Amino acid sequence: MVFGQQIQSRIALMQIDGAVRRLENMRNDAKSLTLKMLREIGKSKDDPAPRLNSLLEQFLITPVDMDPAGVVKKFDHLLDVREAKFKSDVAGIAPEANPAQVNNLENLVEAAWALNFMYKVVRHLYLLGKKTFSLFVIFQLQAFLPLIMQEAEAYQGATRAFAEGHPIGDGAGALLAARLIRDRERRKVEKDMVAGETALEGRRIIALKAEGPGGNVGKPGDAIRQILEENNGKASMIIMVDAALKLEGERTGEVAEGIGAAIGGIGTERFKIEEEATKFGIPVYAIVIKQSIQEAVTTMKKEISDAMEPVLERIKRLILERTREGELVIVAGIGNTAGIL
Amino acid sequence: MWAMIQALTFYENGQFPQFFVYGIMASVGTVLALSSITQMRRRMLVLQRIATKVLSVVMCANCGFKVVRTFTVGDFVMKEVGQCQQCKGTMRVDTICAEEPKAKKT
Repeated sequence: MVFGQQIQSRIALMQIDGAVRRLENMRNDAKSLTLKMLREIGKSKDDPAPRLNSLLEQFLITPVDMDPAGVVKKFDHLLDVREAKFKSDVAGIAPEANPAQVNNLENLVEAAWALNFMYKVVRHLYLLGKKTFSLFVIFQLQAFLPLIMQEAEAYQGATRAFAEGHPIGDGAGALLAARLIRDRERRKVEKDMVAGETALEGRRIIALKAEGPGGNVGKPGDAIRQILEENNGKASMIIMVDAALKLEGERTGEVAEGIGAAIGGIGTERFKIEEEATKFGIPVYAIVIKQSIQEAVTTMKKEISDAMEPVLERIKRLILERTREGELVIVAGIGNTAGIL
Repeated sequence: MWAMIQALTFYENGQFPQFFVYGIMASVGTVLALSSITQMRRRMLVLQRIATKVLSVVMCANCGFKVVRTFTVGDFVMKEVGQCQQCKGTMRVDTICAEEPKAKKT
């Protein structure tokens, strides 16, 4: 019995060892690609490797939540500082890159950061399991390994997409908004977002998305707040379009409709949208395009771009059924706008 | 394979200790061979994923004339890429998407 457990643990450790090596290779590949792109695009005179290494080790200390009042504002502030620092650090390493290229490079560094972090955590648990020979540490890690490797492969795919500037699956919402305001005048709104106005059977539609074509998600919460303030809160409806994780067995590109703010991330943007919608009593509708985690961070698949037509149809139906002529509707295309203007 | 044949020969001759030794050798060999085949298949799948083709669909908003070409670095959705060959309208990148390698029919 005891001997059987020993054998099982040894086999599990061997499997984890293999995974740690694969993660290390993935991390190294991502780092080399990032360095190559920084040298090619950024044309820095100094060697970017030491500064990249320090960026890969960057961390964020989350605010204290023992007294939760105001924690969202604190979080938002910390995220703003982190983003600004990350962007300026990347721009410093790549002085010749234009703003769109800086955004793509920033996303590339973030993907490399994620791979580095995953590698280090898995290696930590592996070495801890090996050192203590604790069955629970070893088996828990072994149980989660397939999911961890799936995510790591997704980030590996993301590095190629960001290096070449492809649109990614997560950008489905941004693509939809871009199609809505095609050939329309655009203006910059808060923060790193653009808005354009169009019309549908007498209804005013303001569509917004992050500012492209560099990899950027913007701050849709701030943009929606600005547009509502400009219109004295007189909007009949907010429609949010975003990518959503599908369950195993669901079809990629499937479109689903719901209620609420469809936006991922840490929750600060969702909080702002919910606050504004509640303040002015505006209904919030969500339309999502289903995809897996790999599809969300790698080059957009045809099934996802083909889903734009059904999404547009649903938006039209929602607007015509639930608003009257002359009313204002806000359509927010959520997601990373890499490769989408 | 050779170990397996040896094992069977020893089994037929009633030499059980030798049969067990060669039997174990044959089993280990089979497991190793199967594992390396699985690893190879996995690697091939990863390579296939890397080899995914990225296409840019360029379209004229005026007449709907469509050109599908391989993605080139610098392309982005809504980028103007010249004049339409048919109506002299503006051609724009309409979609950029990954084309999955076609699955083999069995």
